[in-house]
Amino acid sequence: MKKMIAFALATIMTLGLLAGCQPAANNAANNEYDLVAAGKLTVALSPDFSPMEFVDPSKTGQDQFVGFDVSLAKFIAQELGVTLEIKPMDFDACQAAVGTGKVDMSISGYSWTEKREKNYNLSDYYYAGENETEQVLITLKGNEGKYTTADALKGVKVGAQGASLQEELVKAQLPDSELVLYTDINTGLQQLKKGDFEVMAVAIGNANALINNNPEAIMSGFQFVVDEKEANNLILLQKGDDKLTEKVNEILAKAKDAGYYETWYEEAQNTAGVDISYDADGNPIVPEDDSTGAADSTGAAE
Amino acid sequence: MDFSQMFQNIFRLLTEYWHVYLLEGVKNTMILTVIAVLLGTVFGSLVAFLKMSRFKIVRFFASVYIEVIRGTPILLQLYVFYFILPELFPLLNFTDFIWVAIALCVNSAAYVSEIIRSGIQAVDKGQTEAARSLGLSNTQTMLRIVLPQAVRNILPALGNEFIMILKETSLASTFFIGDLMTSHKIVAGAEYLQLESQIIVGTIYLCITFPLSKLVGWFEKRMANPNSYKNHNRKRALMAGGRIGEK
Repeated sequence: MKKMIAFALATIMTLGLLAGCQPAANNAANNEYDLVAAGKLTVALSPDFSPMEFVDPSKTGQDQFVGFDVSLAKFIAQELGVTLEIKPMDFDACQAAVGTGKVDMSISGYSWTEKREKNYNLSDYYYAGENETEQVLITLKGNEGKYTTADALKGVKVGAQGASLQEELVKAQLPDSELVLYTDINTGLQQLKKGDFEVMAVAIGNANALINNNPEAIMSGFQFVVDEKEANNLILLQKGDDKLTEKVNEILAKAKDAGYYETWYEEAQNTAGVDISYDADGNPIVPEDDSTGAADSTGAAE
Repeated sequence: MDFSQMFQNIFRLLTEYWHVYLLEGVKNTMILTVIAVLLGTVFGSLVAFLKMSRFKIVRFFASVYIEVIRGTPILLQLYVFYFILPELFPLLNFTDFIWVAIALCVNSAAYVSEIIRSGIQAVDKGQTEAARSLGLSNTQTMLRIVLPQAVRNILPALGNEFIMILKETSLASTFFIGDLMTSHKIVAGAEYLQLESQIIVGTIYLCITFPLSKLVGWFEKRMANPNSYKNHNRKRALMAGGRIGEK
């Protein structure tokens, strides 16, 4: 028994020693921008948000992460002259990862909010393709033309993701509707099908990807009014990490000037299997036959 | 809800992504579960003996460990092991997968230690007293008299712990470490087909846990104490058959 106690004490002391070594280890990893891992840009994202970031299941390792934000992360890493390491995790874990310093930054389709401004360093806005430029309502087939104006939406149940931009928009622009919150887009879609609410507020890019795989969902025809803050995304960095934030802003400006944003967004949409063009009124035209994305096979059958 | 559309979608997801679910997901879930239960059993036995120690201070520390682990949600523990411990111990250069595996081990050890302790303490005190009065040492009593009888209390409960941990590994998908629930998140995220993918992984989990729970049930029967009330009739039948009486 004495041996056991000695062993336990020894273990505790060893752990204590290891803990004591922390500053030294951090110094060893020191580099120009004080990255979490030397020579590596570590980025947290939540790959369940097609086409901004998602997983291509046919690939493995780091290559499997695709989408607009992944292209952006690759570009930033390249400009910093380091390799990119993506750490996938749930959306709320992404923010914890930045806060605890597990990652250098999180690029996961963030919009500006007051709380984020307070707790994190935020980069300049980047234009996430068309994903956020339009905020729309989707509904189920059979409701065509029913919910096109704020008047028509009086007293109607409107679904929005909790703590999201869409929740704010519904509160501000549809004050007479009944707001129902859901946890994530996928769950929201199930609730829409089940009838928990008649319409659901989402960003246009997500709406397209979602309708593509769920033919019973359609655009309602209603659009929110959005300003610059809401139409763009930004990157979350550690509070006080000003040097890296500044550099990232430079890189964002460079990507904007070079016109990369549109290319990345198109690429991401193609990978996601979304192939939707718009007619003169801005309504999506769903192609009848589709040979590009395997993801479309049943979508086109309906 | 359009069920025929749903079945079509399930079928399509299965043909397109079966390897994501079965090769990646099931493999990693099994690896995590086996590591957690095996190391959890080793570590848990140690903790169980610490909890039964003669020294108050040792018992105290063991109790604190067990109470903290059993009294907090496993998701919270995963966050601690994923975010905070790697920061505290930067010299331990583990991958995220290992940190999650360690978290599951530490969690499972707390439950296993209670299983083992209750298994040992359920052995009739008269057994220890008899052994001691026959001149066996404390260690001999434990190893030769108490433990062999405790094993039959412990093993079936360990099997149930295995099933519990197998399901709890799904929480590790918060960090996309590649288990079966991660496969679900990946596919649902790429396809926006949540319910369909959930039905698939649910079925796979059931296909793994059902045979396991049958196995545990079989074990339980084999390990049942012949002296217990439940087996009274069985014992009498055996004696009437002369197989016990002969000896």
